[in-house]
Amino acid sequence: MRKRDMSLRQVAGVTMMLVFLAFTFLPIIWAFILSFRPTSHLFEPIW
Amino acid sequence: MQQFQGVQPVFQSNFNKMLYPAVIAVGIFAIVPLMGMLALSFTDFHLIKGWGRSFGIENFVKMTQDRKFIGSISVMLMLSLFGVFFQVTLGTLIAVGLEKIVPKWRFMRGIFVVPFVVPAVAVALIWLSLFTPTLSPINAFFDIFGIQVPSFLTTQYGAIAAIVIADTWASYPFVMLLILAALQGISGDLDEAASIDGATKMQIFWRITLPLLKPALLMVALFRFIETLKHFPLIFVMTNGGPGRSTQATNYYAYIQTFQSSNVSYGAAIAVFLFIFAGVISFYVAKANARLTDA
Repeated sequence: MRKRDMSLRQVAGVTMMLVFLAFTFLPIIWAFILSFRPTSHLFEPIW
Repeated sequence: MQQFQGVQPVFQSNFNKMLYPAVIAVGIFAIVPLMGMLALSFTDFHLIKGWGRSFGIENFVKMTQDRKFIGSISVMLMLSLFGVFFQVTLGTLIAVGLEKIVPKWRFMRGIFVVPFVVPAVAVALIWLSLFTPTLSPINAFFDIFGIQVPSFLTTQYGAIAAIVIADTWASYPFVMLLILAALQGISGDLDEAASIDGATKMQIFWRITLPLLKPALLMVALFRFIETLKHFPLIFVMTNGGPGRSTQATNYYAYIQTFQSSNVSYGAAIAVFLFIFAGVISFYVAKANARLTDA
């Protein structure tokens, strides 16, 4: 039981780190995608 | 020993002379402009009208009656306090996570530092696009499920939150790096001794690691606080002080007074206020830090 608790905690910790990684990296990927848009139409709707 | 007598004073005098370039550089680049700003704040210099005749504390008296200025202080404090809180919390969590939870992710440290090297204007443009409903992938994602994400930049507190989020993203790596360095300075023997005594990992973190990190946390919070007082590019690019005056922090208000209203002397007086404010906060935090280090 104790071993299972520990692994759950580890999963929670790794998930937290993955969320932080997404928070760090997704805006950079978004900036990379935006860099392919023509500057004159940068803020025009995409979706 | 006799033959070395006299060497020390000669070395000492040369040592003092070696300091001259640094003293001159600090004098030219820091003290002279500061004195210039201080002198300007007592005049009534206007970009268009030029120099007036009065010289006194009118600008400082005007500041106490200026509601826009007083309002700008509360905006500045909100941006600074929330910004510092989230940056320090996130930076510490990631540093502790990298050191204790996923020590094998050594290569990830470089990725977590990337936002720190992005120029402030680029950070502002990235987050401006992410908070623009017609462009943002966040809005597009939630639209799939029929959820309308509120437009952050069009409401008072939403705009403040947007700037805090952008600043947190750009600045938490600085906190993370300093906390990582501080964590590596804490001996592993302490953790080991505590775990032998039966302490859990959480108890070790709250009772040993965090108290030992306190001086580093205080210093990094001070650095970030002073830096957030100087908020400018994020406000300028993302909100331009708006909506209304809701993100017009004191620093931005000084810019508006100086370059849009041409009130250079009043802008200088606001900058003097900011300088004194940052100085007082730094003094008390340094004092608290000294007390913590001695304890």
